Amino acid sequence: MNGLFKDTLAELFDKKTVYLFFVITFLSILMTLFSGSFEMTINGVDQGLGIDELGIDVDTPLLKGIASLMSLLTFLAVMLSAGIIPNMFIKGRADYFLAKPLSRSSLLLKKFLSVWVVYGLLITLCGFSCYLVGALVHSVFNNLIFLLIGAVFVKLFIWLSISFFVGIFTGKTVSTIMFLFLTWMIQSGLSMLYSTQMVAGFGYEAFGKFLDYCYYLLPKMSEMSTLVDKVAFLSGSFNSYILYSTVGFAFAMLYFTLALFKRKNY
Amino acid sequence: MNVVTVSDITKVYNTGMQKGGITAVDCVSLHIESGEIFGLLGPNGAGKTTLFKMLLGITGVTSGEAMLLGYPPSNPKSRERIGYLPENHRFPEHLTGLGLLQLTGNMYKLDKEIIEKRSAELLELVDMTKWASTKMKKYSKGMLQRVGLAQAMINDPEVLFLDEPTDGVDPIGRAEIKNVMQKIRDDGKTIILNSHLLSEVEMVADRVAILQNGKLAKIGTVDEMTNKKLQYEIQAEFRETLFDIPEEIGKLQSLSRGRMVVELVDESKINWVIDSLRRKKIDIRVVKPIKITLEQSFIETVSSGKEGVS
Ligand SMILES: Nc1ncnc2c1ncn2[C@@H]1O[C@H](COP(=O)(O)OP(=O)(O)OP(=O)(O)O)[C@@H](O)[C@H]1O
Ligand SMILES: [Mg+2]
Repeated sequence: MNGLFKDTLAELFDKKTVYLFFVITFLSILMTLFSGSFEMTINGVDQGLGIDELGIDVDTPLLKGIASLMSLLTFLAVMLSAGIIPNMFIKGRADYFLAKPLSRSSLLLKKFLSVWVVYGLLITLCGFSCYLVGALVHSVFNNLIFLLIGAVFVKLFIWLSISFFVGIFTGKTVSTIMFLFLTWMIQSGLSMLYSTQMVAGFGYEAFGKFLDYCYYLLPKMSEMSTLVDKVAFLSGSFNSYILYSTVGFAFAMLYFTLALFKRKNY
Repeated sequence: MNVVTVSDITKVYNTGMQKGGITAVDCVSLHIESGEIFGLLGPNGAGKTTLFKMLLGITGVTSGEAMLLGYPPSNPKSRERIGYLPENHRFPEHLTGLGLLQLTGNMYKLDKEIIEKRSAELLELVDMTKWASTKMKKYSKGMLQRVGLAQAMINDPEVLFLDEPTDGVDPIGRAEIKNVMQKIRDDGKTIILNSHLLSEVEMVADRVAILQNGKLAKIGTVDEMTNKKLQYEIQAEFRETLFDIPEEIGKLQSLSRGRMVVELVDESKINWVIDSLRRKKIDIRVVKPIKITLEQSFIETVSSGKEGVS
């Protein structure tokens, strides 16, 4: 196993917060086990979907429950990941990593990959074990769970690209968390405005343009979730623009992070 | 062969506060040969660590050129056969001592078996075997220093950069580190040492350079540094306490029954002194140049440098 993978894993388990993942998963499993009716446990079940009409009883609510569980865990993972980069490049530790015969890009990419895979697998493990319990109890299995897992990795990739960028740029955990939170707030706000067609710059044309740019530049995380919902639950059409622009944003972010990292003095 | 060559290397740190930035290293040129222990000395803030960091590609070079094992620091290949113990290091605390060695070996792309074998040997060498599987956050300062030294040697490096290796280590540990360094040098490896413990540097180093305010103030072998220029001690059976030395030869510093100290205008004048003593039929037992400690030499260099500045 690659050394940085092991290091990332050791770092993750060193933080006691990782046990929060297991606690949440455990509670979800309990809920899955003891709930006869899924409608009770899961918030926001799309009533218009008509579970009965589709002829799948517990399948969809179970998947939706797992989807929200994994979204929560992804959020936690992203917050946990905010400290990784600032921590790796503090004074005295940066020297250790940078004096190794790895180019800076490969050092950072390897770290990115290991964080992505380790945290992604952790979420998958939690989500999938919960799904398996539900699936066994209700004797159903839907391959769409794999789509949901794939979506977790895509979302995590996007958030990590932002987390790494700010981590390298500021070198501080607190700023990284704040920035991540800000991105999330702005993006959710914009999505809400756009989905309800409320944007016209509130009467100011320039402001409207500015909002437009913000909206199109920022990764569209909440739209991504809706997108996954749409695909997974077979409702509505698939807008590939949202997926491509958001993933494109993440790659651009990663590129800028590498460019910044290469020129940085420690 | 030169393992390190730097020519006119300069580092300016851009800080928001000071206009034009801080010049940490100022036009330094030197080279370090394979197989020597090279001591880099200088007061706090002289630029020693910065010079290390530039050589290792941790911080960029503002101007000038650096070569490490034939490659510029921008090429990761230059770091394949080096080991580095940073000053004030903070290794990943969530790892154990053994974990640190494994991670390090891994980043040098060593084979798993080699990592296992070398880790065990090195932990034994720095006397940390019984702490190998304790997390480093529970280590004391000296213990961290010991595993730090071990990780720097995991790849059997050609050049070892040690930034204050004995910082926080107890006297026994310091003696052990000194032995380790000598052993490494005997294996034909190069050590570049940055330390404030000049008595130790004097014991192990072959050559030293003194940096001051980022500039190279003095460079030479330890012998050259510790020879008090042109002062000689002559031990003999002096019958009288008077001995005239003409001004063009030098000056009598002191003279007692068994010992005379002279300061000469140049080295060759020692012959004149010996000749005239022999003419007086004085039995000479010993003639030797007067040595000072490296520490004294350092203080002299640095304080004369300060006068030069002010
Ligand atoms: N990252 C940095 N940013 C700005 N200035 C720095 C930075 N690192 C070092 N300096 C400055 O560069 C100068 C040289 O520092 P350096 O750490 O190289 O000194 P040193 O010789 O290793 O000192 P010491 O013996 O205390 O370790 C100092 O004036 C210091 O303030
Ligand atoms: Mg230093």
